[in-house]
Amino acid sequence: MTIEAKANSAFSEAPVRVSEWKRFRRVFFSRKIVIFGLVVLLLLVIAAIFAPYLAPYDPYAIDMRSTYQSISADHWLGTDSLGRDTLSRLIYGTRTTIQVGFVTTAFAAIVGMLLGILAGYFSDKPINMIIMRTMDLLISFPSIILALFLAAILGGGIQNVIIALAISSLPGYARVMHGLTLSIKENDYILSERAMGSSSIRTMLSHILPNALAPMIVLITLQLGTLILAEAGLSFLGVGIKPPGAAWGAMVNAGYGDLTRLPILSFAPGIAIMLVVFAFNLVGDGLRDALDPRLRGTL
Amino acid sequence: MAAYIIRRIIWAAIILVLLTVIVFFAMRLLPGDPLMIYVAQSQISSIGPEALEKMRHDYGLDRPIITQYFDWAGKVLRGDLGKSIFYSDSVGKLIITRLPRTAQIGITAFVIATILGTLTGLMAGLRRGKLADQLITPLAYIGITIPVFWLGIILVYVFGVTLHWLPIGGYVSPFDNFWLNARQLVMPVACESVLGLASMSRQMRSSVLEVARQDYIRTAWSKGLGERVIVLRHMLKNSLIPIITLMGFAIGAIFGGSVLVETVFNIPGMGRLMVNSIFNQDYVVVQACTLIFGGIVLLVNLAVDISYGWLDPRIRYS
Repeated sequence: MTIEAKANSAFSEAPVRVSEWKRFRRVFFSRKIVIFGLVVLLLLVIAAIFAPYLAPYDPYAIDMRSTYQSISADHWLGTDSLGRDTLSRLIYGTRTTIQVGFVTTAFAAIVGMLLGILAGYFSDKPINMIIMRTMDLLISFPSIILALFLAAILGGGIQNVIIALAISSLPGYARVMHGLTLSIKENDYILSERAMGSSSIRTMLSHILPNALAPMIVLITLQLGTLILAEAGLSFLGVGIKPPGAAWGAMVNAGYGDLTRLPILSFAPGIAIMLVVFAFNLVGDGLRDALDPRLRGTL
Repeated sequence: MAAYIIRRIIWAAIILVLLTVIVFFAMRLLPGDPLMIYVAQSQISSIGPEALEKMRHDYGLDRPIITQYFDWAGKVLRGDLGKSIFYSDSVGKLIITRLPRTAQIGITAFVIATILGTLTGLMAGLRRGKLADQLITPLAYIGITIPVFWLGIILVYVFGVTLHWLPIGGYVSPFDNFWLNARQLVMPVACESVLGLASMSRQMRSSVLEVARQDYIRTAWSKGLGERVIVLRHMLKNSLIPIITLMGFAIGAIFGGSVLVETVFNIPGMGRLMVNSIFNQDYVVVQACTLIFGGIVLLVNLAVDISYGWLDPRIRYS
């Protein structure tokens, strides 16, 4: 084999450089299950935006002549003890889910990651102690109890549920980010970066953050699911959106009382919760595979 | 290391005191008056203003808040957790009867979740794409997505209402009726453990996959070590760090879950006590529960932080 041929074969074996976006798209859309998750989330958003047009009935209309209707062509998922259409209430419930999930996560993730990276980077400074001990204080309360507690102080409205859940999910982000920062900053490339005189902010944002991003994205999507579960749990206990407003957790609780009579009343909203949380996790995992920096630039 | 532990314990104590201060003052910011809620709920139709004042005085609610706090803290240090307004019983007694129920379910769930979670995750990670992985991974997915209260309802419907295999709720002490206790606990324990089990399994799987491509594992393989040694000595310990973090979370999640699970299965434990007391604004009970929950979780966190250093000597304590 000539030198030229050798060089050529070596070249063809080297990973083919492709654009980031192209690689991301290819990996992300290569798994059907991820696309399924994406479709579910898309449907969720569409249902929330167009709820008034999609719901077959008024979700609040009480009709005492048609209570406890079983599954039928008129009422696909039956009707509850007040004769309200379950499907319509489920569709309106998407609004509560979306609102609580996205607003809370955006707030908690940004603040939590910031706190975690600061604490981890300055692990020998008082700021580390102040941040992490505050997080310990917050985490020492199970999030649902903390949220219950805050909701009881602030009142049961949806904004207060958002505030309560955001505060209670802060320590999760901060602690994981703190741990990742501690571990990443021990790497040689951080040391050499520091030796070359890079500023703390630059090191944190351009070197530590990108290396922590993939696990953080997994955490954020898992947390989105967890938050939706927590919101459902709170509304199951009677905190959150007030009746007659529709929330999936509250629907499960209301249906529990009629479990022997019409199980679909608590089964249907439970399946809805699960499907959405499931979809968030699927998409999150898809994102993780597609964003992994170790695969960057290769196929 | 010893100095680090002592400092952390002192910190934990300070945090615990801060926690009680915050809860103490926050509870008093709540709109509404606990005595009025009590009177309204216990349907005492005729209670004069004098009687109400006397009750207020008896519970110390007429004194300045700061005095009330120090009064309460002093009593706690002497082992007196106060008297519940709502249950008109000593809080110590309320907790002593309820804590063992919650602890029995919670600890069982925690042990099951940790052992099964680690094992299934390890199996799925080592045999990626094989049958075990194909079974475990989707199940773990379902485990982290299922709402515990809803899982409880499904279990009640299937095993309680339809098949009549298990009692649908309640709690009997194992010392009174061991067999009934065991049967009553199956569903609540399953519900409380499922989230921790599934998240540990997932985390373990991805840690194992991550660790498996590290250079030191390749070195271990290339120098001809057996799979058992590589898995047990090199992979397991390095994959466990995130699991230790999750164990801390799992304790919190199990206590939090107890609120929902005890509601579904009608178990008079700490979770129910806490929820009822928050809704009834029964200050003294909420404070005592805070102290206990907070103390347990702080201890667990301390254990987590200490074990990081044991598992990964690169993490230094200062």
